[in-house]
Amino acid sequence: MIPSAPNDRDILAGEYVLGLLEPEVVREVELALPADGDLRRRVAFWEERLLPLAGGLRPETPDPEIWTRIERDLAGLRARRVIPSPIRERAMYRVWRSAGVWQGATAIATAAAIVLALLPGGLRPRTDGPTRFFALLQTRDSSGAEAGPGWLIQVATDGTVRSIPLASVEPGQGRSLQLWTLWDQARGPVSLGVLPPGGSVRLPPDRLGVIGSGQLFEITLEPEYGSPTGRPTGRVLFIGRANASTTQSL
Amino acid sequence: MDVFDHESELAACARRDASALRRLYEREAPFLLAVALRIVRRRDVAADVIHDSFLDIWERAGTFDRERGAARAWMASIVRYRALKHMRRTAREREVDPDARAAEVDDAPDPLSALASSQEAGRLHACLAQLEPKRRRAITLAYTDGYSHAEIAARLGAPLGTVKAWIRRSLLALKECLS
Repeated sequence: MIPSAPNDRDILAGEYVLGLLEPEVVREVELALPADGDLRRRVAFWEERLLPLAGGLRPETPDPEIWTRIERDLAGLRARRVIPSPIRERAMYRVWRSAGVWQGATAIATAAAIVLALLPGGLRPRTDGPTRFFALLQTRDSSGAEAGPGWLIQVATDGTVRSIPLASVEPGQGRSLQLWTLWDQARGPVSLGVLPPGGSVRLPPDRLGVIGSGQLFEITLEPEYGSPTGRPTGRVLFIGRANASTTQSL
Repeated sequence: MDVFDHESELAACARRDASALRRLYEREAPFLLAVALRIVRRRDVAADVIHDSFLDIWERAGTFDRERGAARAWMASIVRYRALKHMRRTAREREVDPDARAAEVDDAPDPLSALASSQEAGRLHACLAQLEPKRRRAITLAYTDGYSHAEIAARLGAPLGTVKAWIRRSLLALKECLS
């Protein structure tokens, strides 16, 4: 839960920057940051003001091999877009921010409807009964920056779950994408399975135990056959919360 | 006079100019490697952190908002969060005893005594100096060394709850002093 009192928010932001928060709270903060400009400012305050503490460290000469690897992987990234271009992300981000769409579930529903309307016909989910819940997952980088909508999770009235990537995602050799859901902090994330190549999948109704508004869905980068621990071990690539689908008369 | 313009180089990265990333790397990799190494304490792991961080910087350059802060702090944060995540993850996987980390030889200089002599650093130094030594050390162990609450408690020989309270009160005092 992100606190509202200024002092508590300063402490939360400070502990986030210091790296002292529990992983679950780090996720909460990273989930809140894209829509919470005030919290972003408080985090930036600590990031900038504490930086001189690192200023006294003696610089280390990097092994030339590091840049060689960066250059090699950069070529791969440029050849095969993993994540939408940051320029487009930023433009998208501004639109989303300025529209204030994160202010309410109805607005989010509208935004998702727009995204759905923009999808090519072949990507549109074939429904298993009307949509009961959907979660528009935001592309997420390791430090909590939002990079635009990247994934859609649809839960039909019969409990069928569909996973629909909005961008082409290539986890890389020996890696996989794993889908998780979280409805109880005490229990922690529950795996819904490793996603097949391409990421699009339809899961039978019994796979998802519980579904409710606000339930968290996330996709993490894991070893080829999924997390060996039963808990997410890699970075969160996409994250978002379930929203109840609204009925509209047209 | 330092004329290297981090913000412009990041903007060039956002335009997919890889030579800008190279210039940022040449300029900042030695500093960022020191930041990562101080936290993860292993050269191979620190190298991975720098590799992953520069790919992150490339991917996210377009999301950098210069009104939000300085590019250098933004880059250093990407490296720190990656290094910290590695430490927390491996600590959980290997069930590392916080006492073991606390017993590591601390051969690096105390960050407070080595604070760079810029104006910003002077302000931070003055504010940190107002904290009691152990509370100040708790902040620097967390920021510079990436220690967890438990590791700080073990290092300073203080109860975990006390350390948590120190950090919270110190953050509020620093916020007041630095604002």
